[in-house]
Amino acid sequence: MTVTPTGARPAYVGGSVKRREDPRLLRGRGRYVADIRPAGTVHMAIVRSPHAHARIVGVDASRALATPGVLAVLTWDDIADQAGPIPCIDLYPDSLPTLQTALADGVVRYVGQPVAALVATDEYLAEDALDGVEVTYQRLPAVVDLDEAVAGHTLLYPEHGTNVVTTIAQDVGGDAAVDAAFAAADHVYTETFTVHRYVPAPMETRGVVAEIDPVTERLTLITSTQFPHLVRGFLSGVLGLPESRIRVIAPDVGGGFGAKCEFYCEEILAPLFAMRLRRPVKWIEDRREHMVASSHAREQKHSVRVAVSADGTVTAVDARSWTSNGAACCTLATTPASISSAMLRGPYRIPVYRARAHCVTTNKTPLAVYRGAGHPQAVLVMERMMDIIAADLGRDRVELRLQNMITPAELPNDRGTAIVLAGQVVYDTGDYGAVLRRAAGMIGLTPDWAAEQQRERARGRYLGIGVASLVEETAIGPYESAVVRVDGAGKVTVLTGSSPHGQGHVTTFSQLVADELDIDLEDVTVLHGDTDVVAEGVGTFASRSAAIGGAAARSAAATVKEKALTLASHLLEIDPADLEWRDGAAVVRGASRSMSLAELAGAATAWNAPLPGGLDWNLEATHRHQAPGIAFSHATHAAKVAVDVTTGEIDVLDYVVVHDCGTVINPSIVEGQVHGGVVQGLGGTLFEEVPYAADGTPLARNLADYLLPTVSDVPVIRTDSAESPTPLNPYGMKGAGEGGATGAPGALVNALADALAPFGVHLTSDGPWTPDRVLALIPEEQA
Amino acid sequence: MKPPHFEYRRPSTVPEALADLAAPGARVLAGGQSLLPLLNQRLVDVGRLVDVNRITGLDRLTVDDDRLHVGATVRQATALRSPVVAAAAPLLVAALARTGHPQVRSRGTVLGSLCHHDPAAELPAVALALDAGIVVADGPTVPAAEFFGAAFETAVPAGGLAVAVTFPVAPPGTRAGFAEIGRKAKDLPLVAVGAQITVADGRIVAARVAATGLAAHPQRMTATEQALLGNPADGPAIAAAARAATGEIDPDLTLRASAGYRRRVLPAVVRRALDDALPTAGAVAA
Amino acid sequence: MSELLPVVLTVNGVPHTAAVPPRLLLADLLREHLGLTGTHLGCGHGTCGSCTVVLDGEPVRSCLMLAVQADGSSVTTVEGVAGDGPITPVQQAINDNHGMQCGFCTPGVVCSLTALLDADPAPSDEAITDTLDGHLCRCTGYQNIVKAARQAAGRPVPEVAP
Repeated sequence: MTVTPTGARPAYVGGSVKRREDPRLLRGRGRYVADIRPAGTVHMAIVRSPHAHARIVGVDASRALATPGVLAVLTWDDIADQAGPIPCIDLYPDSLPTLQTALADGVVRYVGQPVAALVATDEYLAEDALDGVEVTYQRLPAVVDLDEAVAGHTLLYPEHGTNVVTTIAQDVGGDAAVDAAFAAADHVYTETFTVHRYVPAPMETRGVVAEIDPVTERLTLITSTQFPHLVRGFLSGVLGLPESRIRVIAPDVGGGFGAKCEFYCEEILAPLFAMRLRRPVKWIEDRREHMVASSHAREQKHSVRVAVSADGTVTAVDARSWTSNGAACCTLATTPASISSAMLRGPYRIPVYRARAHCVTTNKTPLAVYRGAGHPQAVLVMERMMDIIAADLGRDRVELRLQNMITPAELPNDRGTAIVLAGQVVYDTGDYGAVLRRAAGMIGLTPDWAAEQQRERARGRYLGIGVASLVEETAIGPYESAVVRVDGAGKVTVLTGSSPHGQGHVTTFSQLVADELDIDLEDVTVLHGDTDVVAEGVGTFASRSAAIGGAAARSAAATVKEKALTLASHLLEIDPADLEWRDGAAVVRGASRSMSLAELAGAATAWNAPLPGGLDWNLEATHRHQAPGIAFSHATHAAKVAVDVTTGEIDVLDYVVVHDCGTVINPSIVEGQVHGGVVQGLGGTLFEEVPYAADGTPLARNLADYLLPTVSDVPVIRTDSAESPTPLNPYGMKGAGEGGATGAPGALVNALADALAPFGVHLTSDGPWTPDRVLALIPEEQA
Repeated sequence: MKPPHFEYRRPSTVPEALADLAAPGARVLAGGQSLLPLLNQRLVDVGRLVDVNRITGLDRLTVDDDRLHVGATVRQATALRSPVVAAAAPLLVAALARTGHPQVRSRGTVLGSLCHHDPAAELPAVALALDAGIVVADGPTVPAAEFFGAAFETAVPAGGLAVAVTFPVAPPGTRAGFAEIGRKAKDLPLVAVGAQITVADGRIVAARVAATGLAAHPQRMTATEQALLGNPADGPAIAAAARAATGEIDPDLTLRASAGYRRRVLPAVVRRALDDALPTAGAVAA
Repeated sequence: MSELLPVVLTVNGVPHTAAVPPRLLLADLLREHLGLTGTHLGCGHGTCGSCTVVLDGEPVRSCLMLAVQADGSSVTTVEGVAGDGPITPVQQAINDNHGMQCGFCTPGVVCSLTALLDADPAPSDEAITDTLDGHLCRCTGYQNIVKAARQAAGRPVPEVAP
C-alpha cells in the first residue's frame, strides 16, 4: 500500500488487503448449495451404472416406486423427448460428436454414469430407494488402456469406426522443416511419458436445487458451479426453454478447480423433476459419487522426439499425445489436449515444432479441465526432456535452459500454435530467464550443489533438486462483464459476471474499484453468481477473473468517474479541465469547492430533473472487457527432496516458486493461489490417483482411497515474484490461479530423478510416486 | 451417503447388552469411528446397533493386580492423555499418538480398534506385543495371541461383547517406540512396528516387539526380541535386531502395497521403532 | 418405519429436544433439524474433517456420530464459537493470515483449533500439526492455516523469507 496515485489515500491495489469474505464464513454463515432448503424440498438420488460398458436391457422401477417416501422415477424413455445431449463447447470442426445425455440412452460407457433418477421426501429415503430400481445390463468389453482404445478393437461408438474423436494439429515450420531439423540434428532424443488420472476433488462436492416459481413458471437452478451464466445458456438449449425463463444461482461455492467448470446431468435432471412435481428438488453429490460422477483429469500419454545440436540448442520437437477423454466429450473435452500440444515447448524457442494430439474415448468418467488443464502434462514432458538432454550432454541444467529460453528482447513472440476457444499463442511479456535464475538460487541449485549432493550420498542421504520452468495461458476471453453503479447515498455496487469459488473476488474487485474511484473499500459491494442480478457473464476458470473480470470492473468504474466529473463540471459551472478527481470527489483545482461522489450520484438519480448537458440519469456504467489475446504468466518451480532408499519415502525438504502474473492486485491472494496449486500438484505427484481395474472399475472410491495431502505432507512453500504487466488490458493483470499446479509435477519428478540418479533411474511419468513405486526403482542390493 | 435403517438399543448393563446382541445382525457400537464410515457408505449391513456407551463401568481405566485395565468405552484420547497408561503401558501411548487424528481419537476406543481388527491398524500390534488380555463378557479372557483371526475377525463370538482389555504393567525402566510407513504421512500404515523395551543397568532385560500390516493379523517378532535381550541398549543391538527382523516374517498382505514392499521395508521400520524407544542408542548407531 | 428416539442436548449454549430416527447423523441433526448449516459435510466418511464440531470439549466428526449418541452432550458448532460477539482469536488469525479461500473446510478447522486451544492455550507445534492433520483443505495448501494456528496459539508466525 505504498503507491499513492491520487491524493493521500494509499492504493488498495498491490496491498495484501484482508479478505472481506472471511468474517461471514468464519462464523459459519456461508450459504453453500447444501445449506439451501426451500419449503417443500424433496431429494433426488441417481441410479448409476456399476459397469464400465454395457447395454441396458431393461429398467424396472416398480419396486422403487413402492418404497416409502418415493415420489417419482425418471428413466431415459421418460426424458428422451425433453432433454437434448449435453453440449461440448470445444469440439473441433472435424471432431466426432460423442455427447452424453442426462440419462444413458441405451448404453452405459462408464461406471457411475446416470441410468435413472428418483426423488423421495428426504435424502435418507432417496438413497434407500436406489436398490429398488432394477436395471438389467448386457455387459460389453471395456476399454481402459489408451493404446487399446487407439487400436480400436472395441469401440465405444461403433458408428464412428474409431475411438479417436479428434486429432489436433500444431505445425510450426511444416513437415519439411521437421524432417530437415532431425536430419541435421547432432542428437535425437525419443521418450514416451505417461500421466495418470486425477480427480480435482474440491472439498464441497457438487449439488443443485431446482425450483419452479408457481406464479411465473420460471425455473431457478441453484448449482455449485464456476459459470452460472453458461449453465443458463446450456440448460436453455438442452431443455428448449428460453433463457428468460431460467435463473441460475451459484451461491457460495466450496472450490471448483475445473470440476465445476462443466455442465452436468444432474443440472438437467433436477429441473425435469421440479417441473413434474412442482416442488423444489435437491441433490447433493456424495463423495463416492463425486469420485465417478464429476469430471476426471490429466490422463495422457506423450511420445516426443527432440532434435538437439551439439551446442545444446533444441532445434525441433516432434510430438504425439493421446488423452484418455473417457466415455464422452463433456463440456470442455479437447481443451486439455489442445493446451498440452500448443504449450509443450514452454519458455523455449524451439523454432520447429509439430504435434498431433489425439482425444480418445475410453470407458472411464469423462475427462475435463482441472487447474492447469493441459499445462502440467506439457511441463512434465518438456522439463524432463531438458534434464535428460542436459545429463546426456554433460551440461548444467540451468544453463541449458537459459540457452534455449526466449529472452525479453524476443517478446512478443508468436509461437505459431493455437489453443481451442482461446486463440493464437503469442507470448506477451516476462523475463523467463531471470525467474529461473532466481528460483535456482533460492533452492540452492548452484555450482556447489553437485559436491554437496555427493557428500550427502556418501552419508546415505539421497537428495535431489528439480526445477521446472513454465509459461501458461491465462486471462482468456471471450470477455467478462461488469456494472458499476453508485446509489444516491454514494455507495458503490459492482456486478461481475465472473462468479468466484474461493478466489476472493469480493476483495480484489473492491480494491480495483475503490482505487479507481478513490473511495473506501467498505463503500463497495460486489455482487455475483445470480443471473437475475448480473445480466450476463462468463465465469471463473482459466486464471481469467482478475485480469478479464477485474479489468471490466475497473474500466466501468473509470467510466463512472468520467461521468461524475462531467456532471460536476455542469453543476459547478466550471471547465472540466479545472476539475480533478480526488478522495472520492470532483475537486476544483486550487479551490476548496468540490462535489462528493454521493452528492453527484444523488444529483443524477431518477428523481432529479433532466440532467444538464443531456447526460443520462444515474452514475452507472456497464463495461465488457473483451480480451484481445491471451496473457501468458510464467514461473519457475524448484523442489528439493530427500529419498529414503530403504523405504522409498520422499521428503520434500524445500519448495520454491518464483512467478510473474503481471500486475498484482493482492499479494496474499496471489500467494494463496500459488500455495494451493503447488499442493494439488504435489498431491498428484506423490499420492493422488484413480486407478482402474481391467474391467473398467475405478478403484479409488472415496477420500480414504484417493489420498489428498494434509499438513504433514507439505513443505513450507517459499515464493518470490516479478511483475511484467501485460499490455492486453489497461491495468496489466495476468492470471495466477493455475501456475502452482502446473509446475509442481515437473519440478518434483525432476527432483526425484536427481536424487535417484546413482541408481540409473529414468523417470517418464508423474507416478504417483508412492513409497512402493519409488522403492521399486532402487535395486535391493544397492539400497 | 447416509446409513441404512437399523434398530438402536442402548443398554445400561452388560447382561442387557448381551440380550440385545443376541438378535441376528446385531453389532456393538462403541466409538463408532470404524463402523460409521462403513455404515454411511452402506458397506455393511447391520440389523441392530447395540450402543454400549451408557453401560456403567465400561469406562474404567485403572491399574489392579499389576494389570492395566482399559474398559470398552475408554476413548483413545483419554488413554493417550492418561499418566496411568503412560506409566503402565508406554507402548500403548506411543502407538495411540500415531493412531487416527485427534478428532477421531476423541470418540474411538482402544478396545474398539482391537475388535474391529483392521489388518493395517496400529493397536492390535500393541495388544500382541504386550500380551494383552481381552475380557469377554460371560467368557474367558482371551490372550491377544489367540484373539486376532483373519482380517476383521476376532475371537469374540457372534453375539458376544468384549468389555475390557488388560495389559501387564511395565516394570520401571521401560520405554516404548513406535514407527510406521504409510502411503503418506497420516494414512493407515502399510507397515507399523511397536517395541517396548525394559533396560536395567544398561542392558535390555525385556523386549516386546510386534508389527502390523504384514499379514491378515498382527505379528509378534520373537526373533527380533531375542536379538535384543541381554544386549546393551546400543546401536549394534538395534542393528542386530533389524537384521533378525528380515528373516523372521514373510509378509503376505497385499493391501495398498505389495508383500514384497513390506518385506523390504520391515527392517527399516523395526530400526525406527527401536530408535524411537532407545533414542540415545539410535544416536550412537548413526 | 423406525421409531423416533428422544435426544436432549445443548447446542451453542441453547438446550434442544428432538425426536430422531436412530440412523440420523449428528451432522444432519445440526444442519437439517437445528438449521446450523455452518457444519459442512465434505466426505461423509470421516476423512475430510469439515464436519468437525466440539462435543463436551473434544473435537469430533459429526458425520461419525449418530444424533442419538449426542444425547446429554454439549455441542459447540462454528456458529457458537464466537456467538454474537466479536470473532475469536482463532477466527481473527485465519482472516489475518489469509488462512481460507473457499471456506468450506474452515468451520471444521475453527472448531478443532478452538478445542485445542481451550484444552491447552499454548500447544506445541506437534500438537498443532496433529490437529490440523485431521482436516483436508483443497485451496490453501495449508501454508496460511499453519500460520493462523501459530498466531492463535501465541507462537511466532514465520515470515517466510524468499
